[in-house]
Parts: sequence; C-alpha cells; structure tokens
Amino acid sequence: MILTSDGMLLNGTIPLEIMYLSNLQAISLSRNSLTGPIPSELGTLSKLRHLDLEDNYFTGGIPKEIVDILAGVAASGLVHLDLSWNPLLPSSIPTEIGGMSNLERLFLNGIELVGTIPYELYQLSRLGKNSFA
Amino acid sequence: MNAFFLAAVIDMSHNKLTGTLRTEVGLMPNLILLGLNQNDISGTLPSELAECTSLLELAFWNNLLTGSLPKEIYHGDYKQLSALIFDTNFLSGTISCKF
Repeated sequence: MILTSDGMLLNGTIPLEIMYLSNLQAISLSRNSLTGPIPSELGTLSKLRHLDLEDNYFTGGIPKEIVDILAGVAASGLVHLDLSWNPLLPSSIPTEIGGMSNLERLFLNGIELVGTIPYELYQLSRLGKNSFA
Repeated sequence: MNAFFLAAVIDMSHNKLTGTLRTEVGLMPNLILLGLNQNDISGTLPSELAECTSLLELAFWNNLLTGSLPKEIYHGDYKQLSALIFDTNFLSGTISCKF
C-alpha cells in the first residue's frame, strides 16, 4: 500500500491516525504546505520503506523516535528518506540514523542542519564493507 | 538482524554542517553520491576517498576545505566517477595530470 499526494495544496498536519494504515510501504507528500511535527507514530509503520516529505513546513527537528523505531524493525526499515527543504525543521543529524541499516538514499538538503556529520553515519557503512567483502 | 548498509546516495547540501569529512568515509564502498554543497565543512579531504570506488559524484561546492586534493584519489579505482565539484573553497596545490 502506498500513499502519494505530491505537489498538491495540502496543508495542516499529518494525522496521527496514519499509524493505523499498517500496510503502508511508501509515503510521498512532497511539495505541499504541511506543518507541525513529523509524527513519531510513523515509526510504528513496520513496512514503511520510502518516506518523502520534501519541501514542506514541518517543524520540530528530525524525530529521533522515527529513526530509532524504524531502525529497530528487523525485517524492514527505510530505504529512502527525504526530509529536504523543510526550512522550519532545523536540527542536527540524529546519531540514531546509524541504525537505519537498509538506508540507500538519504536526502537532508536545506534544513539548516548544524553540527558535524556524526560518526554513526560512517560506522554502519563498515558493516556494509564487511557484508560485501 | 543481518545488517548491511548500502548508503548509495547521501545528500546533505545547503545546511550549516561543520567539522571535517572523517577518514571513515573510506568505509562506504557503495557510496555513489556524496553531496555536501553549501556547508561549512573544513580541513582537508581524507585520502580514504580513494576507497569509495562506486562514486559518481563528490560535491563540496562552497565549503571551507583547505589544502590539496589527496593524491590517492588520482589513483582510486573508480568505476564511474564523473564529477568532482570543489568550487568556492580554499584549496591549494596542484592537480594531477592523470585526470
């Protein structure tokens, strides 16, 4: 199951009830005017592989819960995460991102990220090297 | 959990990231694009970039990089490298004719 509504005129927040759509594999809501925090309830969607919230007005940083919970889903986890161009989302890169072991594409452009690139981002890639050795 | 990290594309351009690119970047053999344009990344680029042999594009436009490009990247066994973007930094030194 996928939910896409890119480039529409959506505003308001992502309803918490999205957590009941437990078969969601992809959420793509880029280029809208969505506001509020990115709900940590997204982290309960164990089949979610693709999350694209590019170009909106989300606030409150990158919720560690999402990264943490998704990283803990043994059989799944995000492959594609795009939170770019959310100018009100300023944040640092959560170190939990290193636990997102299935991540192939990470886009965090233009969200006023501060701080350094955390060691954890490189750390998991070491496993990659071992896996392919 | 049989964890492995593909990390094919990482783009964190247009932010305010600081610090250096760590030598551990060499542990990302599947990295195709590393985009850090428009940040405040400083220091020299690590020679370990030569181990990122899947790289297609390395983009560091408008940062605070200093020193010269590591010699090792001229000898990297890149399969598809097409763009090295370092405009508007503080790089110095010579560029190898191997390009």
